[in-house]
Amino acid sequence: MKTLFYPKLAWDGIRKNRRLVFPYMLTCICMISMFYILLFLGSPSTGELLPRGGTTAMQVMILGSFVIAVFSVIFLYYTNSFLIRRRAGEFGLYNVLGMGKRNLAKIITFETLITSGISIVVGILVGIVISKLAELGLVKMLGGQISYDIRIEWKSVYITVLFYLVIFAVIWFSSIIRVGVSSAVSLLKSEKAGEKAPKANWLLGLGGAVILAIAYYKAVSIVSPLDAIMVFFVAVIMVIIATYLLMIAGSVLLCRILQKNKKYYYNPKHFVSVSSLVYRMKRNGAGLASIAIIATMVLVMISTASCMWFGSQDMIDDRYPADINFVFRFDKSELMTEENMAYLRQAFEDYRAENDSTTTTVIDLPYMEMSGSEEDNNTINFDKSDIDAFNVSSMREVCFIPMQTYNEATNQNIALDDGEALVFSSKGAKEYDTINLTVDGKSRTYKCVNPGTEEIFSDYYLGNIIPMISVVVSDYSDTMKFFEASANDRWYNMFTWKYSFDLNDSSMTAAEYAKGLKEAVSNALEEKSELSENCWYYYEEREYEALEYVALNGSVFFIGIVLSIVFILAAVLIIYYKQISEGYEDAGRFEVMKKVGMSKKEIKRSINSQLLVVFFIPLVFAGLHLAFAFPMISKILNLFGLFNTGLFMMTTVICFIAFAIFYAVVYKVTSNVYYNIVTDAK
Amino acid sequence: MSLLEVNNLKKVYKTRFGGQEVEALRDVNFAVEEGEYVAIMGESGSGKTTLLNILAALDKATAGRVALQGMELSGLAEKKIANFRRDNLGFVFQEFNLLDTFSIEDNIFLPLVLSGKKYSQMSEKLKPIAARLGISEILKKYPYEVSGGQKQRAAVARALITDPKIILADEPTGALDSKASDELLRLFGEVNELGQTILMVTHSAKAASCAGRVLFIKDGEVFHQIYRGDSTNQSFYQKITETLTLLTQGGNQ
Repeated sequence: MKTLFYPKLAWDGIRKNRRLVFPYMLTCICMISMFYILLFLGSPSTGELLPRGGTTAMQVMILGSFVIAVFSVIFLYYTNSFLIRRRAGEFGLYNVLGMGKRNLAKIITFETLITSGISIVVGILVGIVISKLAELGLVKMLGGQISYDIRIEWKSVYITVLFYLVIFAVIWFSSIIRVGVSSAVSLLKSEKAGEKAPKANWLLGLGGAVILAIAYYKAVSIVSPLDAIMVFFVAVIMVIIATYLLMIAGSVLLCRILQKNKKYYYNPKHFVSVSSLVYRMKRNGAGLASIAIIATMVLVMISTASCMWFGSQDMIDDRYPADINFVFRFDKSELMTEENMAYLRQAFEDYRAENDSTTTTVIDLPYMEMSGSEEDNNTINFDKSDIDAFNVSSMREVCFIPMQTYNEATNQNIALDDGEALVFSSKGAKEYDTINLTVDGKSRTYKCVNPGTEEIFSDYYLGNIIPMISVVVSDYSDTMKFFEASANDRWYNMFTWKYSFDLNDSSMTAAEYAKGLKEAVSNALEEKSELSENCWYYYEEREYEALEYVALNGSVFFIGIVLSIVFILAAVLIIYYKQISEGYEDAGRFEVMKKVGMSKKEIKRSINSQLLVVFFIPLVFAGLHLAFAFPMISKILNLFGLFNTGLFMMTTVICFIAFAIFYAVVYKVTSNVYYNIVTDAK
Repeated sequence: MSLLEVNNLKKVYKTRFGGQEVEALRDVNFAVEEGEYVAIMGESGSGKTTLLNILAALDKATAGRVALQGMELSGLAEKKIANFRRDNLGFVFQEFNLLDTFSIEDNIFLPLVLSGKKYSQMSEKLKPIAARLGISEILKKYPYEVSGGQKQRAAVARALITDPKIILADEPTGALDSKASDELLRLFGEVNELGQTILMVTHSAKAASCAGRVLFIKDGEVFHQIYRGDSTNQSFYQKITETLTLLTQGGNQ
């Protein structure tokens, strides 16, 4: 029976500490099963069930599994070191009772074997069961073929088991080291360590506030989406640092300032709460900051992902305004004649008639596109040498559109005088009164006429993130020639004709129609020698392209949900452990207060107010971070072709409310654990 | 009428699961007059701490009567108990029971703050007490920064600052070295001379010898009591040890 001594001791240790160990195992199980599920979804056999875009979806899933992997390592390591710290007293006692470090190591080894064994086995089993549901969900979202066969991806199982075995081995090793290097007495006392009164650190506290202010300012002051991406990562890092500084040092500082105010501090309502908060914040500052960061991360992720998913149709409609979209590019301006365009239009018309279909033209737009850099005095300079590729914020996209086209498209009859133009600014470009367009030292200046409301160009090329100015001119061919002549080999010179139409009534699908049309257009270009050499084109068929969007947005949304669950679970565990460790620490304190003359009610009120503050701090921080990140993220969403700020606002608010409710429930439940500990211990 | 009257006090503990009953106090009777300095002695397990907890209204008696200035503790509503404790009783504990989250000054202020006193009032009140107890210099420090003796004096200051009718001390010298113990006992004597009633539970004969009367508790009853009378600390100490020997050796009275 002696051989079973250590396993039994280990099992007892786990059982006695189930308040600590079970939630840890639950988290392990959840992470393991999520990891397996993502690997499973990223496997080729799942990909086969998905429509076009399946590869994208698989890549997203694999990417998600990486995120879970990295997070598992950090988080499980952190959690385990907390567990070991809490149980140091127990190990110290064993040590005092005559167990050597070697024996302690044996107990820890068996404990690790038990917890990790159960976690991995259960995790995989849960993963296998849920993976089927996840697959059905994903396939349904992306519109693939539903299969009800239960499948086990053995390769994914191997990877999962192997990966988590390695993590648990590392954790086991670090526990052994931790217990190995400390003496019995320090083990016994380690739980009592850190009773010093925290000093207010002005430098760190104020530093945190300043960094946060800068990060917030950076986030709100962004104009162009391209800046947003660059600023985003800097801002995220600054916000993380600032959150930790503020929670750890700033909170102590604030309490100290409150304590200086005698009238406020020596009030029965604040006296106990404020002074206890100092300690609470000192001990939990880092934990609360982590919760705030995780909460922010989850909120940003899920609100963005859901916005992309629910905005998919908007994105597709914006990007592909009609069923079939053709774009022609001419090498020389003189080829972009009304005659040539009419010739091509006829090719479309012939094909339509041939196939006995009806179509509606949605866009018929000739324009010239150029890139320049924004300078002072309302000037845009097109000299290539002056365009600093690194200074993207000054880059501007300028599109010239014939007045006639504009009038036809908007059913208006605007006449421009010489030197006048309609100018539309979008995507962060400024509004102009007059505009100078300069190249090679020569320039054209237009007085800007109030364009009214109609911009016909807004649907164009939303993937393009550079601020755009469209200029409607009456002397279109002159303008083309002017810039062409003096602007050889520059960044632009796109003489473009865009022709998009809906297919209303046809025996063919849009894809078949477009494919045949492509042949017809190619033939037409071949037949006209000047075009065959100097004109090229491409087309996009909406339905087909849309699948890619749905696959990407759908899998991002899906992964957003999965990762949110994992992160939220981690945050819950942090909160839970925080409550437990505080409970043990506070139990003695409240006993004293009772003796000195605080009633149970007063004690309870004081506990409540402290818990509430500690509860709200991460939520408030997460809310603030989210609010300030909002403009930045909505700019970044522009890059993905999503311009529906209202939708993003809605998903953000809904996600925040849902999160707050969930958070409140979790807090309520874990608070009960806290109350039990505080009132139990006598 | 005595300041504190205890009649036929009985306390029975039940183990949590199952009916095993432990009689901590069987039948305790005594009275404390105003201005008295009474020590209660007994071996561990004799019921001293239970008695003190009941006197402090921290625990409820199974039967019997405890009255402070004629007011019965058992008649107090749960809500009023905390107030009662704060206004009438001062506590000094073996483990000091200072809160590590407060500075020494704030620890002393705690009961007054709970009663809603203003800072200026409190600080006026603290000055003479702190001076007498020799802790004026350490008021801004935190418990972990000062010695055990200083902590205990701070606890005494916390007990005194509310002008309690009676100070209840539970093994006040238990965690102190002999020098700090002597100092504390001297302070108790001083305070008592100024008219403060003190009830101290201890099993140190030396501490008890500073009191004016010593009650001995055994098996949940007041077994014996002796008065100092005119005797010196030294001879009173002698008497106490003799009684203690009798108490441990002798069977029944």
